[in-house]
Amino acid sequence: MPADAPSLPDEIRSFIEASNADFAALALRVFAYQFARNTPYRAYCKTLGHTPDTVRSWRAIPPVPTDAFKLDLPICSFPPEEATRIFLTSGTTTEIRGRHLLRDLDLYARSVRAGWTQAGLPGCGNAWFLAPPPGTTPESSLETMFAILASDDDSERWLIAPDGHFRLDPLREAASRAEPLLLFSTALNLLRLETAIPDGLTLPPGSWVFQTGGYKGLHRAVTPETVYHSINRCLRVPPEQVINEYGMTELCSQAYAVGAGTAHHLPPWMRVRAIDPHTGADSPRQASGYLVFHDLANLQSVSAIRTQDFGRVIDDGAFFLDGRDPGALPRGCSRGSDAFAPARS
Amino acid sequence: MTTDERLTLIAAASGLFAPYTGPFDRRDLEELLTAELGDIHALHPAECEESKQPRHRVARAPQRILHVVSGNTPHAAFQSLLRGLLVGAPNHVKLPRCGLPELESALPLLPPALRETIAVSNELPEDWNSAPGVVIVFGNDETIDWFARHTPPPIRFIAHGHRLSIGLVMGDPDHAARLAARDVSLYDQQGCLSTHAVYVHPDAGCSLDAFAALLATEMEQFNADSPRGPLSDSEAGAITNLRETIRFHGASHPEETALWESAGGTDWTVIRERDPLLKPSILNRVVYVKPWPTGDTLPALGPALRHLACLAIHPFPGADGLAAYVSTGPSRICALGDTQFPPLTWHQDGIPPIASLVSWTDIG
Repeated sequence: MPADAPSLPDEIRSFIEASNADFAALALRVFAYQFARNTPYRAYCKTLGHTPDTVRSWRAIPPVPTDAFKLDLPICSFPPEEATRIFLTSGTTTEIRGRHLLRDLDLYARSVRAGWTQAGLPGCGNAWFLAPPPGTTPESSLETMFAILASDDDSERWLIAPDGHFRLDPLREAASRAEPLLLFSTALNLLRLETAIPDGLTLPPGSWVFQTGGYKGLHRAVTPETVYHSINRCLRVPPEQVINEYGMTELCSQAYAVGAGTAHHLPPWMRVRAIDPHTGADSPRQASGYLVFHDLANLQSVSAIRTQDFGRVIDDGAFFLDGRDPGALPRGCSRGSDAFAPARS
Repeated sequence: MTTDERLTLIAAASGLFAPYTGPFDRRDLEELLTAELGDIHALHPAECEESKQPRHRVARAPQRILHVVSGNTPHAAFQSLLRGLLVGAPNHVKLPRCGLPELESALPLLPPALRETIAVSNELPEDWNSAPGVVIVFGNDETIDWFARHTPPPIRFIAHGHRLSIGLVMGDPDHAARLAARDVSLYDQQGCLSTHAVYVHPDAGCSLDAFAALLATEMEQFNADSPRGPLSDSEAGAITNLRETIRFHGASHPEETALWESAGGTDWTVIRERDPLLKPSILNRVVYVKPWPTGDTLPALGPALRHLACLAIHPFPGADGLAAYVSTGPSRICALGDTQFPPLTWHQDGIPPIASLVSWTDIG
């Protein structure tokens, strides 16, 4: 490589900002980068017989199961002692939680911001967060993402107090003005909001709601339709103004679907494939399988992640989410936010 | 119906129960009643009088037994129903939502006098917790907890929650591997007696890896003779996901864990771990091979030990050599290879199978 050639991290930053690279070629270089630096990943790939010399396609890059992040192994492409952030998967105190080590938040923050903008999602100038304020749970990747998307440091925008109570007066005041707003939340907190304010709260026309996470932890049957219905009833925001985020602790990038029953779309620096849970082989297009993501923003850890979420892939950049494998252990941002279940509004 | 008549009818129908209870005849039933109640006529006052012997107590069958059964295997349902029939109680079987085809197809073949004592439904009867009797529940912790909270004190509540079994190899590893493969593979680990882990004693005459390899060979052979049932996407995914996680771990720490697996599918999986901590299998012929702890057994095996149903040992030391293992808390200790075939008299979860159902009236 010429001395003045950009480094791989620089190339990925550039790709994220300007979508000016060939994903397939860059993905193979990221694999070689991680194979060289990520000791547990290299050992795993060698066990499988896959090395940078044998892998010819991004589809053949070995994915790491999310459960591997629960092992006492540093799945990172830098000396683990240099980690400045450790994102933890949700879980109770008795459960082993997955650990995603990051040396810094640079690529993560760039991916969050560019992913949001390039997806054509609404501006965050009048954003409100049904979440505790930044710093409450620094191990939460969702809290970090919210903080990155927040347009200012106004503490009033965080609608759950550190002790878990809803503090909705600022939202009521914002809703009384005509300016459309954007409300970020987990699905569970939206359902709890409906309970907390039975009469609802009409958001200004043109407002948006961002929701993410599953519904486990509730002692009632909840479907995606239930949540969209709840949002419409409680906040008067129709499904076509609702953004669903697919993200996870082990991924630095996110996928978004706008409206009910629509596909999730990935940013250009991320690809998806589905694998047959019986064999691990790629599933045919539109056939349900475990989703495997290849996220170049995961440069500091491992780019290929095998989930236990079922989905149907439309193309390399879009998929329909069928849901969490019912046999898998519960996880998800919503569940993590259980600790902040408000006791009163 | 007298006890004599009932035993005759049940014995005549033993063929319907045998695949799930083991074979039995009238004599076996008499021995069970005698072992549990002291006398086969204890339940029927008229018979007591006919026996012309002084009576100090009479057993009463419950007014109704509600059996809430799970869908993983039909064994528990047949065993529980057999006990209910033996004591002569009206039985109501609450089936899982997915049904229980083996039981549903067997019931019409029962002698009418027995059949008419059995009601079946997919939903709980409305008066399930208002009529006195016995409620027997097979299910997961959530199910057990729900019934425990909703069953008022006058109703006797018997819970059979999540259970697992383990094997212990003390020697003769080749033969032990064959027996263990059978215990693990039968019924695809869906039952409470299914073996989830096989422990290898330090004096077994073989290393953990060597035994895991032997067990893998026997698992393959058993599967060739008796293929595992089909799996859902979720069940198969659980296996492939676990395999990759173990492979990831073992690649960095081969001394901690290693994997043996069926080629080209998820038919069977053997996972060797250095840590003796007992972990539930994800089922469908996935088994752990672990070292039997040399020090204090109970802490080393960990909290999952509270779910232990059966400890199966090879070679079986006989009753005199078992005292050291009783403290692990199983409701049964048996020879490896026999795990899945408890006798009728088995105290499932440590509970007397017949005596737990009846009430006594003392006389005099």
